[in-house]
Amino acid sequence: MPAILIDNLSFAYPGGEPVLQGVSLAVEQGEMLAIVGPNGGGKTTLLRIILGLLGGYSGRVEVCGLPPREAQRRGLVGYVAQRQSAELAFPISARQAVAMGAWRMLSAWRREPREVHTLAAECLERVGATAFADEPVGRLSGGQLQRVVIARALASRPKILALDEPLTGVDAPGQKQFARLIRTLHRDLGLTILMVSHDLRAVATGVGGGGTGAGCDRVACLRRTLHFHAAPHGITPQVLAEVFQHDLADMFDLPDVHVHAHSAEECRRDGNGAKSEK
Amino acid sequence: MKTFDFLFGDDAAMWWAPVAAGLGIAVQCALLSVLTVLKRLSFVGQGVSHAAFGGVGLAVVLGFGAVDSLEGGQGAVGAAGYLLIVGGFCVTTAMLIAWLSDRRGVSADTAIGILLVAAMALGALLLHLHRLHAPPGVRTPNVEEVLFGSLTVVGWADAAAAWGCAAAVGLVLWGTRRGLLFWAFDESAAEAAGVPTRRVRLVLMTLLALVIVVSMRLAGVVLATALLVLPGAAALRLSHRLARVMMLSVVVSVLGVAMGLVASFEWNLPPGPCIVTVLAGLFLVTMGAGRGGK
Amino acid sequence: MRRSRVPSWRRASAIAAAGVLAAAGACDREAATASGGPGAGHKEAAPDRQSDERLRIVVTVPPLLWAVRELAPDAEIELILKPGASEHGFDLTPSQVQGIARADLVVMVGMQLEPVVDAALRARASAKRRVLRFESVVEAPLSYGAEEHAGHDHDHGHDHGHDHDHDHDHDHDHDHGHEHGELDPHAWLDPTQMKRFIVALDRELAGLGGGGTEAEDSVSDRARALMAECDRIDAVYRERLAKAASRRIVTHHNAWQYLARRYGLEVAAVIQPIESLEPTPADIQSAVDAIRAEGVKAVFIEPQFSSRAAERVAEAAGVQVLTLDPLGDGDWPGLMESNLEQLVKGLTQP
Repeated sequence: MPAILIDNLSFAYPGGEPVLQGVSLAVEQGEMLAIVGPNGGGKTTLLRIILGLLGGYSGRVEVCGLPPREAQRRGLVGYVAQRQSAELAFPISARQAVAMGAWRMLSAWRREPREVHTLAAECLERVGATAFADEPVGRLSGGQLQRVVIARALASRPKILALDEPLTGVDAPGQKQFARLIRTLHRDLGLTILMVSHDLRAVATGVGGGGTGAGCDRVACLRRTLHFHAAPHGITPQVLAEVFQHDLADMFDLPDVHVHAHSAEECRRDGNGAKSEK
Repeated sequence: MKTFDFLFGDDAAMWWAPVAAGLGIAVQCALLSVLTVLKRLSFVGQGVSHAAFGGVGLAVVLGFGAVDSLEGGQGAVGAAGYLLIVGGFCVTTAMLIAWLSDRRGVSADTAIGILLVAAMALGALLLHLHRLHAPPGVRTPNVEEVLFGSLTVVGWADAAAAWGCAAAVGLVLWGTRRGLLFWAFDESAAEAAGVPTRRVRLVLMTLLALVIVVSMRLAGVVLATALLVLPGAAALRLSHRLARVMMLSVVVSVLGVAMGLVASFEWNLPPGPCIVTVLAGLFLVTMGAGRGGK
Repeated sequence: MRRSRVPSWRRASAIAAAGVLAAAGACDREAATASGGPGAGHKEAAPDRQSDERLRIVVTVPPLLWAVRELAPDAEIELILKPGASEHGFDLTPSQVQGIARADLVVMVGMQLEPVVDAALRARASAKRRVLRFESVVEAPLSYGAEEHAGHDHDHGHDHGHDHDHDHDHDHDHDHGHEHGELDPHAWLDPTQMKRFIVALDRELAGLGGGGTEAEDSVSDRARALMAECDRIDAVYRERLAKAASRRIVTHHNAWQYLARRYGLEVAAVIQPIESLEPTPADIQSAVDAIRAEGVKAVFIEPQFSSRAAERVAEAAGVQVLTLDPLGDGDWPGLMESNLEQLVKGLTQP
């Protein structure tokens, strides 16, 4: 059973243009998928649908064989939002923030059971945040905070981890660290991982094997429709250069990343929008 | 000390009632104060408390305007009716503020400004109409009576109401703290994690409205707003740990009320302004000490 | 969704807007007209009134209405102060000012009770308009300051931090500006004074051709009947209050001196100062102490005002709370009778 099954998904916000059209893709269990595309191309909408936050779509969406809302209710999908959404003046420690992720396991009236404490500690350990676990969240650096947020997402023991623009505003060393972390989690926990980004370069530097990348198995290029959803294929450097106008040698230091374009025209048409705008 | 003369003299029973009521209001406001400050709801509190004026106009027109006291006049039914109408009005206003700023692209402070003056105008109109058409023997309260209260003339039923409200607030906060704190800390992550954010926000707004209505009744709008903002703001400067912050908020609030009342007894001053002054002073003290500059 | 931090100037301006609106609501200029008031649909008055045209009479406060209605049943009467509002510090609507300008007769109290009406009279002088003031018939007028003010251990000048002029919200629950030496206008609560007023009114109406006789020393039959009513009430008061065990009362504000004088009562204290928005603990305490010291059995509140403080004080002092109404709704005999019941209750109960 695929972790995520999407069949002919179409969605439009009420009174608006279609944001997604006829999208079909399957994400296998344990796969790491990067979803890239231009801003406004539907990536976040797709993510929200998978998370069960949006309804009113046509087509079929199944998360671990369940409707998205049900999957969310069971905590099957862990979500790492963009870092800016948290209220950093909140007087809680990193550990307490992580424990919040397990909120479903917590009874309303009684105190936190031991297991949750252990679980939080374990999640912090996995992301390498134990050193600053008891610091107030307001005192954490950007990279530290991101790890805490990931740990929080892990606290619900999800099968799928979805990260939304995880590398926004992260510097190069930070990106390498992040990539390493994701790879480790992927390997150790066998999670299915979705990474959404408008910035192909950011995701691309984490793609592939060889020790410095996160190791995405596939990349999907989304702009209203699914243009690419490629298993490792050869990629023609010229296509990418045209589409993304990046220096390939710079961008890809990993020889076996493959993004397969349907056609050169589509590359050109879609790639312009996918160019990094940072 | 004059305070002892009041509290342990012949009329001690009369004077302990304002103390009890004041402390009850202090606790209920302090519990919400931390969240109010963290979620930038201070101005919402201010807006809602003025909007309550509209709710009171409605209550008066509907016959539940026993503004005189919670014990005099109509008794428990009247008080309940009053609370429901005004409280409901406040919650509606708070939700309208949220709706306007979320959906309609109106910024929060604009929404507050609009609803505040609209509700006050509605209240003024309703009171005016009541004055014109009220049956004989039914008095129409005036503006100041509605917006201002005085701790000096509260009775034991009022104190009981204040503590009842404080207990209810404490209970609801404790019972909803998991989802509430997650929502307060990180709304979008909470939503994605399945926290019923709409319901959580409604609960918070309802508690806020309830606390404002009761505090306003007994102590006036200025004191109610001060108690909703200052203790939490002060406590957040003093600690980084949530449990401690909540406790400190209550401590600051109770201290403010107690010291304010003592000042009122000692120097023959009205209690409301004394309490607010003490609270402001306590906040200034915490600005010097504590975290500093965050 | 993240709310932006509210800039302080916006906060301030919204609060200011609220304050302005609160003041506007408070300064509500409507003192309400009785139903059937002619203000709005007023025709331009002809300089000479036809004999079949109705008399236009404006009455300021409810107690005066009874006599006017009884003596001039065919007249168009406009009552300015609506029952339930306080007689101190009320204001006029534009239509009421018009009503005053066009009236044939304005019946008022005087003695500085209705400065806005005086102002309206001055502003629109009218040759044909007559004004009858109760003060012109009052015998031995009293002034304020004759009794003790409870609830104050400082001098006059009821400074509660809320400064108001008289042309402010008319049903404010506090009263101010009663300096020593200022006249007390509440003479209508003494039936003998009301009798004199009836005579004067009768003469006035006769002069206007609205009824009554022109003769100097006689009154119309109707007036005679009203005066008999006053005598009856006077007698009942004297009889029932003579039996009262105690003679001291604590009232809300200084409205009862004439009545007290007539029937040998003593206004021991006035608690109205503590009705201010934020009385101090000492205010309340001295009111309680005064009640105890005076040995009164009841605190009398008034229906135009909030009773919160009075109830608290009465509870502490262990006395009952009763109601005295200085204004009523236009039925003066009824008002006097119900006040008497309350007085008897408050003075004879153990």
